Amino acid sequence: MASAPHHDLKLGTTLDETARQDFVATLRGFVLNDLAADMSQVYEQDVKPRATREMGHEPATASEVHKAMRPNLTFKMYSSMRVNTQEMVWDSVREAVQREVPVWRPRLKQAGGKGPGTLHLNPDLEIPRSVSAIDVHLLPGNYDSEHGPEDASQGVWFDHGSAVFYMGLLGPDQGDIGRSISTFIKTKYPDFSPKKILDLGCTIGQNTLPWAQTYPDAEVHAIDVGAPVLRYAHARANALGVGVHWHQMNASSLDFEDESFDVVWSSMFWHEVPLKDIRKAFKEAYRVLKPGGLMLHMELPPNSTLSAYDGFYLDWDSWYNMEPFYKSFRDQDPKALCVEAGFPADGFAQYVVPSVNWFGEEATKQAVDEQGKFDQNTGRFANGISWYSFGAWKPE
Amino acid sequence: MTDELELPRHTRGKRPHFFEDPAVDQLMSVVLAMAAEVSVLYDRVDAMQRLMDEKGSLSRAELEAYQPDEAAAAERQARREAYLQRIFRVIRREAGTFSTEEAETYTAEVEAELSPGS
Repeated sequence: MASAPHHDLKLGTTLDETARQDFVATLRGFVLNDLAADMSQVYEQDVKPRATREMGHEPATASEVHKAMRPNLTFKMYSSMRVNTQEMVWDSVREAVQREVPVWRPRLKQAGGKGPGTLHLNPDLEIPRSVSAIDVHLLPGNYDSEHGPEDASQGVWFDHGSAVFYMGLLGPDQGDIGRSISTFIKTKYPDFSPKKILDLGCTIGQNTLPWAQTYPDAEVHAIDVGAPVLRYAHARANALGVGVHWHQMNASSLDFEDESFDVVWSSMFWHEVPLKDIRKAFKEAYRVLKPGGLMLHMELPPNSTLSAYDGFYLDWDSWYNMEPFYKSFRDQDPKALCVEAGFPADGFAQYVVPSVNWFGEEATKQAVDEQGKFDQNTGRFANGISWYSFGAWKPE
Repeated sequence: MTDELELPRHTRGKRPHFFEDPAVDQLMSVVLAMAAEVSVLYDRVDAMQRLMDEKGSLSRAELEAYQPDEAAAAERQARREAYLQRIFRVIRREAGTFSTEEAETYTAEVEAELSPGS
């Protein structure tokens, strides 16, 4: 079922809208569990043997699997239904966002004004074309479109659509990624107590807030280029009583001082960013980190850690979900990216963290002794998910 | 500030298509939207039935405000899942027990058996 956002800014929905959202969430479950399993079976029993005969070797890369799969009927039906489901996610909340403007706009304004967080917008910031020119995840208007002065509509839309999209996988506040990984880090490194934390590409802050909750004494800052999502993030965090400082800023060019943060974090961010900007941003992360600080990114696992088929399965979004930089990021070696940015090779770290929401907090804490155990549920939005993260420690 | 808000309905850029005839892609969208509306209607009928069972009569306002309790929500969810398995049955055919190649060979053998003069 769809799970509604869990805070004061939650929109009212009609009987039929709720039913429509529940349908779309169920349809996503059907496509991502049942049809995805069918597609993998069809690949093994039919597509792979044929392609192997034709090419003279087994499909060895995600792209070769993609090429072999394209004429296949199950692939076509899966893909068509996934694209439609994605569009229906946003469409299922669109009317409620429009209708409820007189309700949410004053609430948002009130929550925005009261604290404990602060909001710092920069109207002169140049929005990168990777945001301003496309509709990532097929959300019409993306993270940055404004439909009036001081508008937060796209943030409202993104939050309510995401609640349908995640099918409840990320918990009522959609914070499971931040919660699982911050819990994991705190358990694994009990002596590490960050005073200042920075979140890059935070959108509406679902995975920013859990860091502030895991480390309640830390000062938490978060940046994004989209003003509408930041306005909403700020109001949402205040409504939930969590103090975060939100800044409209580009991760490739940070306005923060050298050596000012203990943790530089991001989640689900780099796969939407062009590679040249990722390289700049990693250097920036190194610059603003204090000695002994940790850069840590939750991301989709790199193609090199997955079978050709699982790589193809994740790359699907790059081809069909308006995430054009997804594949070029996942083709990189995460360690090489960190080393290029200035981190020492032996400072590199990567973790596969079981989802708190799916497996329970104890399972997540017990996983601290394992490292880098990849399987087909790593980073995959389906039952039994675990999160991949990588990064590096800056030397003392 | 006006309370009128018109959010965009379509994404920028080319919509991906998967079938030889793009009309099939569009028809898939229509079929899925219709499937959603049938599910919406079913939930509405279900809400009416449950309220009638409980109260013997119901007003439109009660119906529009209906929120299933946990047990009802679970039943409705199970119904939705079974509904999808029914209407999309054919889509799952290819991943059946037989591999397609195996099935084709078998079908050819059966046809040979049945053909006159064999």
